[in-house]
Amino acid sequence: MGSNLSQFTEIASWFFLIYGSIIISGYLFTAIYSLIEIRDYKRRNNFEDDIALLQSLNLPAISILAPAFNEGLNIVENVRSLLTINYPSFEIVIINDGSSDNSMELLFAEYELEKKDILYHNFVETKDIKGIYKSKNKAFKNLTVVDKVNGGKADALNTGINICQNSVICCIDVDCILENDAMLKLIKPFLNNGNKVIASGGVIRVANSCVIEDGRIIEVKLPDTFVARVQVLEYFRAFLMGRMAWSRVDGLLLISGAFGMFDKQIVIEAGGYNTNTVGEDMELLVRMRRMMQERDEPYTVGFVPDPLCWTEVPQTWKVLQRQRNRWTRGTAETLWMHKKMMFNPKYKVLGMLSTPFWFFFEWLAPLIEFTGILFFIILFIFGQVSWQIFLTFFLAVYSFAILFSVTALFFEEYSFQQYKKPSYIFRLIGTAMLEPIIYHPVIMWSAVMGNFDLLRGKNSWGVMSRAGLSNPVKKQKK
Amino acid sequence: MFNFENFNFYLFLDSTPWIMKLNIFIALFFISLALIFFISIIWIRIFKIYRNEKKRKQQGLLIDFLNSYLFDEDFNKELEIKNFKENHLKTPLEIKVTIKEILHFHENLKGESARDLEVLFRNLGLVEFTLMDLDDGRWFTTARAINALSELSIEVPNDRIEAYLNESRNEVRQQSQLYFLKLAKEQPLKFLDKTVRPLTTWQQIYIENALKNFYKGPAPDFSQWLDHELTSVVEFSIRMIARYNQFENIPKLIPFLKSKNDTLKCEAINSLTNLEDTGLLELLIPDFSENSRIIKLQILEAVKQLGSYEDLKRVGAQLAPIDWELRIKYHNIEQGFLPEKKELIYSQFMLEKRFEI
Repeated sequence: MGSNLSQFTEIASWFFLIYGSIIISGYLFTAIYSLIEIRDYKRRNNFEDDIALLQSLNLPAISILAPAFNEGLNIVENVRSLLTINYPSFEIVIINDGSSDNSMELLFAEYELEKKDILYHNFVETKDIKGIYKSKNKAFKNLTVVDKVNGGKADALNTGINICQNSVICCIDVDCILENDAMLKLIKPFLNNGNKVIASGGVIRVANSCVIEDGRIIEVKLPDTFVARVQVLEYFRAFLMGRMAWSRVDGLLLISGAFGMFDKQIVIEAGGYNTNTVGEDMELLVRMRRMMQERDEPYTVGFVPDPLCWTEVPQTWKVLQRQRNRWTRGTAETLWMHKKMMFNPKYKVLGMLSTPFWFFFEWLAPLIEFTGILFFIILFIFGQVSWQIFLTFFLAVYSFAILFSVTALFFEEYSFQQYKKPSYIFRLIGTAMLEPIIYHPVIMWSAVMGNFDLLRGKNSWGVMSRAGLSNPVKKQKK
Repeated sequence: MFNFENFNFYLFLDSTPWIMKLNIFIALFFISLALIFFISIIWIRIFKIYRNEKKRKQQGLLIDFLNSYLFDEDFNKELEIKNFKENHLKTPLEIKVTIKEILHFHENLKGESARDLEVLFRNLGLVEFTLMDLDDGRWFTTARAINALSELSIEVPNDRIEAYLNESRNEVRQQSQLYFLKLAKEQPLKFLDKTVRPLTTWQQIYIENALKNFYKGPAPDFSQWLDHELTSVVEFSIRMIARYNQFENIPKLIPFLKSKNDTLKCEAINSLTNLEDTGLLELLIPDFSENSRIIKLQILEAVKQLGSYEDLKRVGAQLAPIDWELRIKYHNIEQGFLPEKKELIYSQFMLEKRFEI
């Protein structure tokens, strides 16, 4: 028994060591590529002023699709904020996804809506539409409101795709706060590329605690709560490091559902958003890319590192756990649906690099980590723990976690430096030091539970309550 | 208590299992890297604060200097330029800020004041600095230099910029295109003859923008590029023929209606529609069904702009029942032609849609 256990211990230890080394190498690779891409982006944009182009009539019209479910608290202000977007030609399509609150009544009253007989076809199958409304007031001529039977976010977006008029769509969360030139920057990859661009995404930033005025970020502040503050670091890592690197090698698999622009025709040809997954944003992009690869058509996906869109992140552990549980299920579902792509050279970078990376390091990592903890407990029970070795292992992993966050913070300082107060740096470093001990275990547990829920057949989003924008005039998000 | 006095590092290394040694080494490596990044963050922060302060000071100086230079008649230009050059153009940052600020002023000024700034730019010796940037070899410095030259209309021998017309970087190509366009007295698009890399839509928008807002000479005859080797140049020229109302070029656009290239055909239909070519629909409607989706949509748009309800019905007869996108467009146009039947058309369409008739 004793020798079997020590043999098992030896093998498992080697396994965890090798896996850890590979994951660290993967992150180093993303850091290097991100740095190159960010440097390149800064150089590309440091002498041109594209704002003058906002007068141009040649920019393609955009349809902005914003699904809303029980957003009555802030819907009027959120729509007003969207209507002030600076872009020559756009329509806003608000899709009320069967809200049970007074969202529709508020929109009716504020925007003087009237029912319109607008011709449309279900290019993508959706739940029934109750009515399509436009404003009687010419000041809101860009606004279309669709009232439909509840079918979830993906279904609502598909409805918007069926209804909207323009060939470029921008899918956003209705409560997102966009930068003034967000649309211009996001459409640029579509227009300034030799290859066909099927989608482009932007960096999402954390709006909690920021000072907001008339639907615009006036002052960037660090969130007051620890949970939200850690997510600032997480977003730096995910967007400035991860996605920038994937964009560099044209291997992006995810454009955030909170803010992404797509070629409508390609979306329709791919079948629209999948209503059977909770990770509809990732699944759509993977399916679009897979379709293009299978058709053997040259294409690319753009990514803009500028902070273009600000969103409110969960600031309670409960909501955060629900969100991460859902993200895990979404990732697993997407990878399962497109398992054919993995290690398939036909799909080039996507098959040989992106999908394996997501499988081994995004989906599998928390499971392996959890197994590692179980393994440690077993060793502990059988008195096999060498505390010296354990402590050195812990120190190595902990120091890497700190290094990873500090590197992401370095990227932010080097590129956009949105958090101006010098004290914020120290608070973020402090947060980075606490994260591996306090925050990370919760995230890992949520991911484990996400997989468990997936096996149980759970397919719901869970309630995602937000503090929201209560005062559009001047408001600091709590 | 740990006894530091009796601690022997070499003995510790010998007696420690290799895995521990490896872990300690890795941890130390990561911690060192994290410290380096942390120090870099602090350094960047301090550097940016210092640089911004310098920038702010230089900008303040420049605002006073430029305002006096441009609008104060008692300002001793020769002496003040000499002083400024000697005292405030010593570091690359001061030079960069000065160039940027002059460009910023230039953007907001016209006529004599703008020309005065161009003279000032030369007198401050900034042309030499820009030319050094031009030859720097790094694409972003070259692009920035060309940008400054074109914004301030500073001519350099053509061959120095022509070399960048077909550079691999979009940004350098775009700046060199704009240079030729903004400095041209006539034939602003002559550079197209030497262009061998496709124009992106973004570049086309910039070129059109510059043509409208900067170029003051006579509009070029865009038909001269209709046989250009690059589809993007031809596409741009077709569009410009309509934008500049060059009706005389209508016959030259007609052959594009038979083009196998959808982009060109679509652009030609669009331009001929905008030029209100009366014969267009007769050329398009009979073969409507043989076209791709994108061309069919464009033809429907042409019918909406130029045609009658009868023309629309001729197109309608060629629409397949399952072409929903085209049918929606068709019925929208139909509603425009028959406003009194708007509700009926809607009801009928929704009924057909429901039963997929």
